[in-house]
Amino acid sequence: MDKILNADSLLFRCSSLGYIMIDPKEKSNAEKYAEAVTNLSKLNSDYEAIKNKETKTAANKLAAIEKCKLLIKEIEPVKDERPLADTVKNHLADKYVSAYYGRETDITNKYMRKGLMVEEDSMTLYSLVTNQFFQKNIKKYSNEFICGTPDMLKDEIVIDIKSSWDIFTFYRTNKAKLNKMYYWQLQGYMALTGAKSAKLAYCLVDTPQPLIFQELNNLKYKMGVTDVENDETYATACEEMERLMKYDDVPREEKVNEIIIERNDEDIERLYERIKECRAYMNKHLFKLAA
Amino acid sequence: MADLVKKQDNPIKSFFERDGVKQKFHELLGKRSTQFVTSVLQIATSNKLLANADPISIYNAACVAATLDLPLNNSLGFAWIVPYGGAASMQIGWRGYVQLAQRTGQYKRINVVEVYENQFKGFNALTEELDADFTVQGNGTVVGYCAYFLLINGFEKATYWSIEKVKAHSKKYSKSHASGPWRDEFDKMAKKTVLKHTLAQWGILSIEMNTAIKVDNAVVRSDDAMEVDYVDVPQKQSKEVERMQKLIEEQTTIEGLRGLQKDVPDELLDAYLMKEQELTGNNG
Repeated sequence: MDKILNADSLLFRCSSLGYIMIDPKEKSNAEKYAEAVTNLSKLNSDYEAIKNKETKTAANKLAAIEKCKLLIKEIEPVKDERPLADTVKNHLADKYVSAYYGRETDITNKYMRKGLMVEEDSMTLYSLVTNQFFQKNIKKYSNEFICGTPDMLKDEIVIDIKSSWDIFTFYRTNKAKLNKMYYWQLQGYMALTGAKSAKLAYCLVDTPQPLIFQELNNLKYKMGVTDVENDETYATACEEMERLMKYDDVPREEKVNEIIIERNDEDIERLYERIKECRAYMNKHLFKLAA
Repeated sequence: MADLVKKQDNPIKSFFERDGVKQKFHELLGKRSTQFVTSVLQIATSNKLLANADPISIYNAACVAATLDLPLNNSLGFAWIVPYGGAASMQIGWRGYVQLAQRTGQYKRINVVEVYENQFKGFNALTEELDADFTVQGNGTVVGYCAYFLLINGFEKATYWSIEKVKAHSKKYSKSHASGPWRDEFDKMAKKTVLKHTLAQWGILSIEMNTAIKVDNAVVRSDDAMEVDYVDVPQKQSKEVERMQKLIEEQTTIEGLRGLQKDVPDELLDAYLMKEQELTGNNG
């Protein structure tokens, strides 16, 4: 495999766009600069207002003015630069390792495993609830910034299926604010496909038996069970666990929670701008290590 | 190869010697039943994998072949019983489809051919005109397959699939696309696929033709072909078929059902047509 030598044409997967769109918690350079300029003006006014410039107060004020001037001088050259949040930088570091050294971080967990295992079951549930036939999209889309494969695409609407881990996490999606990660993922898909809107469909389907077995096994270790056959507490816990993962008693119509997301071209532009910043950061701080 | 399987240990032979089984074939084929059962046993015992397959799946497949009156004779190429994952699956050949079409008495012409690179010039998908020179002997590589039929009422249809399209189809719908008949008899499988698709979409769908389309590539789970398992279809595709089947079953209006029509896969045409009859009240 050829090594990628810079980030100029590196594509960002729609599923990870949420990571790079996180804004830093601290103030931006522009904000810090504006704040320092305002502060300097106030300090100058305060100093002017002091009649006796020989006092300790006047000396302190003067020192504060000098400190503020120094800060302005420091920020001015980078005042238009937007620092990236640490989470973004971490993600970019992972992306660099993946692009340059061809190694992926292992981020599989039980939630993702269930998502993959029941993908088709969730699509069937969604088809039956909406009374329309859906097929999994297999076409990979890309443009000069992003790439991705939406789950389904029908009548210019992108549909992405999220299979909830259990009945609790599923019902929480009813009231919860739209997850930003999914918002950006779907904006990415809309940008790639030209779709005008997207649907995020949370689905509740039974957990596959191999995953239930795994959970029961974990439970066994957690409870310190040595005699599986005769431990009644464990047997009851197992029953509870299985009940937690199968949902025959939940009406089918209640097992889909759909959220509609409209295309936002301004946000898509912001996304592309952020990718340019990320590429610049990667070239300056990461690819230079390998140069 | 028959000697590989010991006669006395052969569960298939024992199964086919049961009175109920003999009677079933007699009902289906009359005097020809003994000859038919002998040919089934020959096929089953000459293939080690089939010899170890579930006898009931062989019996069901043989019953369907007998019902369709398609001899299981390799040299005729009408139908085969093929081992798959410990069971016997049904394979209908392109000649089998031609045979079933002819029996409707409504086809004036029907054919499916390989198109070679020195013959092919182009295909107009809209007008279904194949621009090819079949007066020259096919030479070089096969670039595609063309199926054609003309009904006695004048309706005609031609379908052309490029070899890439056939390969993509086999990859999508067959787990064993790189082995078995797809590897050993690619041309025959390709011709069957294109003809089957053409007949399923536009041909006369007699009960026998419907049954053949339904059981093709499937393990038959009941001797009346009501239950079949598409064991060779990759999980994703089989889930899609399952999804469509559930949707068809749940339709309560003819409009809802017809909204699904364009996506109905060949193997569910039977279920679709039955539901259509149910919803229109037309059971004739």
